[in-house]
Amino acid sequence: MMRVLADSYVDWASMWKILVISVCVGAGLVAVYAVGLRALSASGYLRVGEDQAQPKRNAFVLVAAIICIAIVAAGALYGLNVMFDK
Amino acid sequence: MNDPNAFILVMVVILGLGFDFTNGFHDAANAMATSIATGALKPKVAVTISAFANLLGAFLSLAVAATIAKGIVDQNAVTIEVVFAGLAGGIAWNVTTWYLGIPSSSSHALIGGVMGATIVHAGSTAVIWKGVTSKVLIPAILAPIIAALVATAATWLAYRVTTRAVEKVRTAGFRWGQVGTATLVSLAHGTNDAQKTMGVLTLALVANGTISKAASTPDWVIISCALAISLGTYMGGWRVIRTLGKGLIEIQSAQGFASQASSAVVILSSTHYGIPLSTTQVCSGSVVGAGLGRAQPVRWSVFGRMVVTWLLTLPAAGLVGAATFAVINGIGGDLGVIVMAVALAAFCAGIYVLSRQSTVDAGNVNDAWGAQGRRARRAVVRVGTK
Repeated sequence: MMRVLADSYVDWASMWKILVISVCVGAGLVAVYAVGLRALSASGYLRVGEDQAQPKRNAFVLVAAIICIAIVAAGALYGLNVMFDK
Repeated sequence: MNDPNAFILVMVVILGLGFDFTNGFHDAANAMATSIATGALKPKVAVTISAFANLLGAFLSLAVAATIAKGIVDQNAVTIEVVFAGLAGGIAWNVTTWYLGIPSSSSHALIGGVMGATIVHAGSTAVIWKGVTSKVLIPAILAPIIAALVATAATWLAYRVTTRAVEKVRTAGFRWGQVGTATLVSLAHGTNDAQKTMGVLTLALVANGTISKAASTPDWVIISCALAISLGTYMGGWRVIRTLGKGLIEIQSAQGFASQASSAVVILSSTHYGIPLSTTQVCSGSVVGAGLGRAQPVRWSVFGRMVVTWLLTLPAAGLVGAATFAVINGIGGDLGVIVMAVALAAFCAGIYVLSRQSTVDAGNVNDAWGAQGRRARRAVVRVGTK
């Protein structure tokens, strides 16, 4: 069993990199996108429906939301680059 | 047509495209199951987008390697009969797991089929067991674990950050995110999986001497493979989509986005480092992680059935591959190939007839899990007692 788990069988270094990068980038981009949505709903520029109080418009918050979503879009484009670069 | 192997070569091309079709059919779930389950996309719209993304991905993947199960079986032992038998094993396993509604790796099924055929053809020494361990078995264990960890963290953050967001914006935003990440996974699938079949067909052509070793993949191979996988995706393996979208957890759009984003990042980073992680296992693990990240119940029995299926993939596809090769070799010549092609077609037709007893399609793919689950289990019991 231990022999199977040795480095010659498994590229542990790459596995660890995949795990760490995926947690940082994957969870990170999801969090950034979530912040973007949070900011978007607080910006007051989107109609939120009749039953809820419309937040006051705030251009700064809107720009922050757009930046967050743009970061995630850039991440997706970088992903495409990795995909076709292979 | 004075080429003595012309017939088997044609059959390999047909089986290769058939395998590619089942590959798309089976793996549509990986990209679209969660988007369909949360209502981010209508079922038919989802598989259409996925099919086009697969097509695009297949055409954009340029470097086709003329190999099959490289590093897993000795490439000198791979004859055109071995390729035929390997494809038969892969198709049989894909069709069976589709009927059972279990997401399972098409690549592993093909590898299993080729291994089985190779063992009969050239003995077990022609299998590079170390390669099997390092390229299939260990990645199969690690893929779902890594994906689940990433998706757990991503889901927890997605909920944590947006607790105070306006519900309408939140849901719409996550649904758009789901569409984007699902398309990314479909593109990746097109570049990876369509390319594998292109490689198999190119290998068969080279092995047969139809094209030279240095020749690049013929255009008709690229076009037909791209179309076959996309058509398969468009047909939508609804049974698998249902299990992945509804079977593991009751999924919401925030979880769908978090799990699909996690899948995309894990798949792309494994591509980058050249580690062959199965897209199917990554996507299944991510959905489990999306449940864990929200501390909600996961149907472990469903996940358990997936794990059992993954463990059985190599031996089961291997047995079919081995039997196919043995029969072809035993009967010999074109007749052996015809016998096994007919047997495979009959098997697929039989599974299709069985599947009609509990049809899953775009109309009922999102039904509540319990009742249909019982129906499917009854169907399995019926198969078992026959």
